[in-house]
Amino acid sequence: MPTASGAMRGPDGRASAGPPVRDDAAPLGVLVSAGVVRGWRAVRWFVTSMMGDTAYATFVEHQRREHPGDPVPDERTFWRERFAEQDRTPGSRCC
Amino acid sequence: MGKDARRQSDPSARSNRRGDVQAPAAGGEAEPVVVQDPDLPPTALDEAEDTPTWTPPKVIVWVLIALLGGVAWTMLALVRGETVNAIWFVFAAVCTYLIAYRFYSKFIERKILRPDDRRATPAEYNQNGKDFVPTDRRVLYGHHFAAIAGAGPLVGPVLAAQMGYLPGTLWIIIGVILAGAVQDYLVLFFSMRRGGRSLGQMARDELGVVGGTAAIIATLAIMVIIVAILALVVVNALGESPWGVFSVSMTIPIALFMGVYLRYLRPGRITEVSIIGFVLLMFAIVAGGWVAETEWGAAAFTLDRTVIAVGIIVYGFIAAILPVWLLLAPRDYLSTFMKIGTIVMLAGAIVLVRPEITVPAFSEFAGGDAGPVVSGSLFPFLFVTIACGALSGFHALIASGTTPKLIEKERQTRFIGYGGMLMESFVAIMALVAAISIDRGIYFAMNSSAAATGGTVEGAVAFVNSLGLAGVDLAPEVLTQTAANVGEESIVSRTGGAPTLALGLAHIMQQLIGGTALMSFWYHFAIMFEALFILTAVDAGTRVARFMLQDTFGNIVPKFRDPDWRLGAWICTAVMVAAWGAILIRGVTDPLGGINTLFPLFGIANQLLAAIALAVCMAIVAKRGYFRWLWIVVVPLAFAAVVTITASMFKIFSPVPAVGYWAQNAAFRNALETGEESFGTAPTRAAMEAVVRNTTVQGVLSIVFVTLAIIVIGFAIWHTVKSIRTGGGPSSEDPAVPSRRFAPSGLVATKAEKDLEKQWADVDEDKRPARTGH
Repeated sequence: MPTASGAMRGPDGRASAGPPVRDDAAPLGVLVSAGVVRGWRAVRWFVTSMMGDTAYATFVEHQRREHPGDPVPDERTFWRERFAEQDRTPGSRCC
Repeated sequence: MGKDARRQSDPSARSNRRGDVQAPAAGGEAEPVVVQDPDLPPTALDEAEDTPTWTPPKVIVWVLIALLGGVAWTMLALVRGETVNAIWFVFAAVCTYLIAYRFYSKFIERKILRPDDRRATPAEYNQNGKDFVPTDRRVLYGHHFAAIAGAGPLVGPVLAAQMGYLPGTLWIIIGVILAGAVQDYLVLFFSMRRGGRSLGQMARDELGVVGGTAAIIATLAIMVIIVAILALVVVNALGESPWGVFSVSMTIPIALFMGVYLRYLRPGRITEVSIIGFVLLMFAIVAGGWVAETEWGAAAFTLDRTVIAVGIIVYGFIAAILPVWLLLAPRDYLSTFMKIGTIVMLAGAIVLVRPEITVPAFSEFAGGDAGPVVSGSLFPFLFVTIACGALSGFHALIASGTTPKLIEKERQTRFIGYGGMLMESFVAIMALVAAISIDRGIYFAMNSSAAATGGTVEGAVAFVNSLGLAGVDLAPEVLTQTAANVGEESIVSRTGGAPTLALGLAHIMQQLIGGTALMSFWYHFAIMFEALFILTAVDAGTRVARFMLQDTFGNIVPKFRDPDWRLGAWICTAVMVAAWGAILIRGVTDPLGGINTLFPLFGIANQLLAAIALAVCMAIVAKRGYFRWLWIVVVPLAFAAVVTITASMFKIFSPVPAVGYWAQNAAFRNALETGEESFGTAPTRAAMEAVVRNTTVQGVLSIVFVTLAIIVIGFAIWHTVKSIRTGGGPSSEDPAVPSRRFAPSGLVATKAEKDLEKQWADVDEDKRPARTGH
C-alpha cells in the first residue's frame, strides 16, 4: 500500500497525528483500503491506549530516555508492581 | 516506613528540576515568566495565533447550531402537543453543549484560569512512566470520562422524571454548563497546577486546618452514604429476580478469570482480556435466562432483598481486602469497556429510533411535594435528585486524583474537564429519554414503593389509577405482559431507577434489534451493566474510604499509616463496610420504602461535596486576584449551597412527615407511645420501631452533612474576603517549570496548532518528548 503506516503514524506511534498523506494518483480501491486500515489503526490505538495495554511500552520508553542503563523490569514484574502500588494507594471511581 | 513511602509519592514534595523561572507567583495578577529552551520550537501558541478569526463559514455554522438548538428548545418547552419526539432532546442538549463549550468555557479559560502552555504540567516535570505520563488528550478524555461516569447519571434523571420531562432536562443542561462542568474544569486545573494534589489537601492548603479537616470528614461521610445508596439501587434491581442475580454473580468468576489471565497468562493484554470477558458476560446474560427458567435455578437464585443486601456487604468486605489485580482491576476494565460501548449504542439507538414521548412537560407532581417516587417539592428536591449529570461533587475527587497527573498541556484541561462533564450530562439526558419513553402508568407502578403498591399487580394498578394522572389508565395485563416480556416475575415496585432505565433501554433497543423477543435480553443487559458500575464503585469507594480512615487513625496510632500492615487495613475496611452496610440494611428493610426516603440524602451528600469543591475553588480564584470574575464560581457555589442547605433544612425541620425525617420520627414515636399496633405504611410495632430508628439515623446524617458543609463554606468565604481586602494572597501552586513539548488543546487541532506540530516533528528524536500511546 502506498500510504503505509509510516506516513500516518508519528515515530512515537501515535496515529492520526495529522491528515493522511493522500496519493491522488492512486486508484480508488487503494485509497479506500488505505482509509480502512488507517481507521482500524486509529481505533486500535485509541482503545489500547485508553485501556492501558500500552502502559509497559510507555514505561520502557521512559526508562530508556531518562534512565538509560538502569535495569528495566520485564512486563510481568512491571504489572505486579503496578497493581501492588494500586493496592497501597486506592483511587476513586465515580458514582 | 509507611509515611515516608507515601510522602515519596506525594508530588508536592519534589524538587524543582529545571528551574529556569524568574518570578514565582506571588498572588494577585503576577504570572511567573517562563523562559523556554531556545533550541526547541515554541511550546505554546502566540496569543495572536490563538485568537479566533471569524470567517463567514464559521459564523454560518454557529448561527445554524444556535438556530437548531433554539428550535429544539422551543419544541421541548413551548410547543404543547400530544407527544414530543425524543430527537429534540438530543438536539437541544448537543447544541447547547457546543455553544457553552465554545463560548463559556473559553470565557472561563481567559478570565480566571489563564492556562499557560509554556509551563510544564506535572505529567511532564514529574514524569515517571507510570502514574505521571503525558497522555494524548483524546485518550485522556476517554479515561477521564470512564472514571467520572457511573450509575449516578443513569439513576437520578429516572427518578426525577416523576415531575415531567422539562424540569429535569432544564436542570441537567443548564446545571452542567454553569455548575457541573465549571466545577470539574476548575478542580482539574487547580489540582494540575499543584502537582495533582487531592481535594482534601487543597482544602487544607486554602482553608487552613479546621476547614480542611471538616472537608475531609465530610468527604468520608459522603462516601459512606453514596456507597450505601448505590448498593441499595443494586439490591432493588436484583430482588426477586433470579435472572439478574445469576448473571450479576457471574461477573465475579469472570473477573477472577480475567485477573488470573492478566497476571499469569498474558500480562498487559488488557483489551484482549476485556473482549474475552465481554463475550463471557454476554453469555452469562443469556445463560441467566435459561437458569431462571429451570426449577433449581429459580429456587437457588430467587433471593429476598435482605439476603442480597447481606451478600453485597460480605462481598464488599472481601472485594476490598483482596488484591487489586484479582477482582477490582479486571472488573474495572470490563466496566470501562461496557460503559463506552453501551453509551454509544444507546445514543445511536435514540437517534435511529426517535421514540415519541407522551410524558407531559410538567407532571401533576411538579407543583406539590407528594410525588410517590421521591417526595419533596421541585425546589430544592429536583436539584438533589439529579446530582450526577448536572453537578456532581464526586467528580472533584477524580479531577484532583488520577487525571491531573496525566495532562499533557495546560490548555487541554478545558477539553478534558469541561468537555468530559458535558459528555456525562449527555448520558443523563439519554437516561431521562429512556425513562420517559415508557408508559407513564408502568413508570409509576415500577417506581412507587412496595409500601404504596403492596407489591402486587392489583395493588399497583389501584394505586397508580388513584394518583389521578392525566391520560393514565393502567390495566393489570399491561404490567403482567411487560414483566413477561423482560423475563421477570413482576415489575411492580422495582424502585431505585435501574429497572426503569433497563426497561426504557430495552424498549428502545428492541425497536432497533430483535423486537419483543430480545427485550428480556436488553433488560438484563442494562441491569448487568448498571450493577457492574455500582459494584466497582462500591469496591473502590470502600477502598478509598478505608485509606482515608487509615490516615485519620494514623494520627493517633501511627502504625495505621503503614500500607503493608494487613490487620490495620482489615480493621479500617471492616469499619467502613459496617458503616455503609448498616445504612444499606436499614434502606432495604425500611417500611417506608427505602429509596424514596434515602435518595435525597445521596443527592444532598453529592451536592454538598460539590459545594465544598467550589468553595475551595472560590478561595483559590480570590487568591489569584481575579475578583471581577469571581461570580463564575460564586453563582454555582451559591446555588449548590442554597439547594443543599434548603434541602437539608426541609429534611431536618419540615413538619410534613413524608419530607422531614424528624417529623416522620415524631409521628411514629407518638404512635408507639399511644400504643398503636400499626401506623401509616408500617404494619407492626416492630416496623414502627424500625421507622423511628431509620429516621433518627437519616436525620443525624442530614445534620452532620449540612454542619460540615457550612463550616467549609464559611471558611472559604472568610478566606475569600481576606483575599479581596488584601488584593490577593500567596499562591499554593507548584513553581513554574518551562515545558519542552507541544500538543494541540482541543479535540481537533487548529491550523496554527498543526503548523506548530509540524515544526516539532522535525526536532531530533532524542530531543523530542516521550509520551504515552505506543
